[in-house]
Amino acid sequence: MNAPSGELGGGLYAAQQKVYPREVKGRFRTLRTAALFVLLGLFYVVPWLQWSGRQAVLFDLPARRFYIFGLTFFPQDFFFLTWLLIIAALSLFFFTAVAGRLWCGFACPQTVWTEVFVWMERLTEGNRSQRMKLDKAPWSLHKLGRKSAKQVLWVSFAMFTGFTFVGFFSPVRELVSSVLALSLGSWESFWILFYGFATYGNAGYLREQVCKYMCPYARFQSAMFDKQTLIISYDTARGEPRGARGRDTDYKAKGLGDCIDCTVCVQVCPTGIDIRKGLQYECIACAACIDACDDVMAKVNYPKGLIRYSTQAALEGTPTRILRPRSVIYGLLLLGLTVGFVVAVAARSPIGIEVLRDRNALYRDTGDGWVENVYTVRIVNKDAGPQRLVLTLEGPEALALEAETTDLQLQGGEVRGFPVRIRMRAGALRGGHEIELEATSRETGKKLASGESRFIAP
Amino acid sequence: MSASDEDRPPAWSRLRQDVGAVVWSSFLAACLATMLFFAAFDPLLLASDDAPPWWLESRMTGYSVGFFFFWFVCAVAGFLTSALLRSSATSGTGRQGD
Repeated sequence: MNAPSGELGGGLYAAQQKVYPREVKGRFRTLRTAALFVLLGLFYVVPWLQWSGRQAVLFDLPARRFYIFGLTFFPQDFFFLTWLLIIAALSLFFFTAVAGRLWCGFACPQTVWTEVFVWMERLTEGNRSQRMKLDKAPWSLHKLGRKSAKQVLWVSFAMFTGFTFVGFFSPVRELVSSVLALSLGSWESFWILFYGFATYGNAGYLREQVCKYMCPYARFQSAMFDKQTLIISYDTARGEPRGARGRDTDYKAKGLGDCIDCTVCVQVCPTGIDIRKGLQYECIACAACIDACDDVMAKVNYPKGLIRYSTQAALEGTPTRILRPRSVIYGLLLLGLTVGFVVAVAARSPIGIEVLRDRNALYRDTGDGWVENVYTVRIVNKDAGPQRLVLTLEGPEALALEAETTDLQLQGGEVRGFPVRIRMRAGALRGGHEIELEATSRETGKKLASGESRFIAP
Repeated sequence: MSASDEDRPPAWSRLRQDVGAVVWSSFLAACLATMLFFAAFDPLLLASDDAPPWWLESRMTGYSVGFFFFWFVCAVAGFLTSALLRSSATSGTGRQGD
C-alpha cells in the first residue's frame, strides 16, 4: 500500500499538510459558540448535579440501574432506551431533510471538541499565519515553549474530559476523592485514559479527517437531502467570473462578478474545501465561509450573501417549500414518537414484578394433606421513594397464597426477592394452572404490577 | 493564489482509509452490541458459572472485556469485508481482474 505522498516520519499527519482554519467572526460563529457552550456545558456540569441526595444523572453500570433525576431505569426498561435511540435517529433525518447538516456544524462532538482544541491551539500558537510560520520554522526555544504549552492545555483538557465521561458511570464526587487519594480503580483509570486519549487524538489531530474518511453519516446524509434542503452555497451566477480588481474600478464593465477571489472562504474552512466549487460531501455546514464572505463583502461595499444558506430550488429560481411530504412525514413521526415516549415514561408502573418458580421441585407434598409450589417473587421499586405493597393471588379458587409477610416494604430503587408458597388441598387440582401474582399499593389500593407463573399439581 | 488545491491535504491512502473506516464503524457497532447484550445479560451470571474466567471479577470487567471483544470481532468482519471488496476476484484465466 502506498503511504500518503509527502508524509514525514510516518506520523499520523504531516505537519505542513494540515488544514489551518483561519479564525472568523460573524453571526454563525456566534451561534456555533453558543451551541458549544450549551453542549459542553451540559456535558461537564451534569455529572455534578445532585438530586435528593444522590447524583442526578448517573448510569450506574455496576449496579445495573440508570438514575435520571427522579427516574430510575432498570435493564427491564431497555425498551425505553431503544425508543429514545429511534427518536434520536429520526430527529437526525428530520433536521437533515429540513436544514442540511446542522448536526455536523453545530452539535457533533467531533466538531464541538475540535473547536475547543483549535481555540487552545490559537491561544498558544497564534493565528493562522503565525501557526503556519511556527510549523515551518526550525525547532527553537520559542517553538518548543509554544508547542509544549499547547500540549499541556490539550492533555489536561482531554484528561478532564475523560474524567467527566467516567463521572457519568461512576459517582463523580467519589471519583474526585479516589483521584486525590490515588486509589482509582483500574477500570476507571483505564476508561479515563481511553476516553481522554480518544478526545485528544480526534479533536487535536484527526479533526476533519474523521468527517471525511470515517463518519458514516457524512456519506449517507445526502440520501435525506432534496432540492428544498438548506445547504451552504456560493451564488455562482452572482460571483462569477471571479477575479481580483482595484478598489475603484468598475468591475462590471470589466465583465467580473462579485467574487473578488480573496480565498478567505477557503482559509476559514475547517475541512479545507472551496465552497465555490459547489456542494461537496466534505462540507460540514459550519457556515464559517458565510461569515467570512459577508465580512469581505461588507469591506468592499458589495451586498452580503454571496455565500449563504440557500436551497437548490432557490438557486434554480423556484420557490423553497419547507412543508413537503418528506419534512411533514418525518416531522409527524418524530412528534408522535416523542409524545408517546413522554406519555409512556410518565405512565410507567413504579413497580416491576417477576415470579420465578423454584427450579428444584415441581411441587411438594407437605405430608399433612397439602400440596405446595415454591416461588421467589422479585420486586423492583423503580420509584425514588419507598413503597408498601400487598401481594394477592389470581388463579383457581382452590389455591391459597402463603407468604411469610404480606406487608412488603421496599426502599426507593430497591430490588428484593420474597419467598412465597402457593398451596392447595391434595387432589383439588390436577396438572398445570396459570396463576398471577398482583402487587397493590397499601396506601392507594391501586394495582401496580403483576407477574405470571404456573402452579403445578400432581 | 495561496489557497488552491495544492494547499489541501492529500487524500488518505487506501489502507489508511480502510483502517479508519473499519475502526470507527466497528466501534459504533460494538457500542450497540455491548448495549444490547448487557441489557439482556448480567456479567455476574457469567461469573456464577462453576469455573468463571479468571478475569471476570466484577461487572465493570465484564462490560469492558465484552466491549473490546465486540469491537475486535466487528473489526475482523470489517477488515475481511474491505479486503474482499478491495481485491477484485480472480478471472478464469488466473489473471487478476480489474
